Amino acid sequence: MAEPQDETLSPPVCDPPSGTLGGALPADFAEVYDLHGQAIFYLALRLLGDPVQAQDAVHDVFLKAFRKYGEFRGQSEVRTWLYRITLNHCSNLRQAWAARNIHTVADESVFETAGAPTSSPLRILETKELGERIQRALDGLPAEYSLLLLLVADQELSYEQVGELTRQTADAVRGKLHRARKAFTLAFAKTA
Amino acid sequence: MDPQSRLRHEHSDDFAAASRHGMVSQNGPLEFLHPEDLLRHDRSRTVPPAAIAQRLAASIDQDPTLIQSRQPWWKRLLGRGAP
Repeated sequence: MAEPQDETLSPPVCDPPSGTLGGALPADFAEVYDLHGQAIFYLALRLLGDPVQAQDAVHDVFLKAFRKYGEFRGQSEVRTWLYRITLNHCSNLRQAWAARNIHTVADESVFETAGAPTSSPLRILETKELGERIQRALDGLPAEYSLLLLLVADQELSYEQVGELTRQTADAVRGKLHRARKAFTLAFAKTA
Repeated sequence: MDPQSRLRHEHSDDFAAASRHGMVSQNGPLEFLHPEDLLRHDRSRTVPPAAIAQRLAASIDQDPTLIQSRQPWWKRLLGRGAP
């Protein structure tokens, strides 16, 4: 099994948070949470597929970030840094889970050979159902594809930053994105 | 992309929000041009529970290893030279 990853590698550097809001988050760190909390929660939710685990993960990610926040270099890299902590944290959680459970891995060749859906796309009646269907579709993809789509969905990240987070070049991201889109569309159609 | 392969979201109670997330609509099902547009839309509707921030604040307040981190940097700098 792979070694658990250091979740706070290479943090950017800036002043540490200071001051508190009467038992709430320290003021400047609360701003960081307000800016990035939703994106981090959504990524954790879709990577882990469990709202309770996602809440725990977001708590742990921001606690780790708070401890290292004094080493930030600049606000522009905070989002990417938080994503990296989240990816490593969720990866460690999933590895621990996989070690305890039998699981199946999606066969990528299925998505490579399948044709695009030709029937009417899926229809969704409620937001909750939409979330569940998206989760099932993502769970049915190779992990690399689902991660790629989740990161590209964040318009604050460039392809270069997505490549940095997934340890590949921006060109590789562009190349795989087409296949990831096709695979998701097929998987989503099957959740109807 | 083949229009037939677009991802549709029939229930649209917030068209204004939908239009900000790469979707097209003709007073019917919302269509997402790419999966990431659908994910973006889903994310915009997924609000983290307030309990996370409260729990995080409590963890920061109660963690003795974070006491120093909560102090302003200049206090820590001055305190370092104190006897």
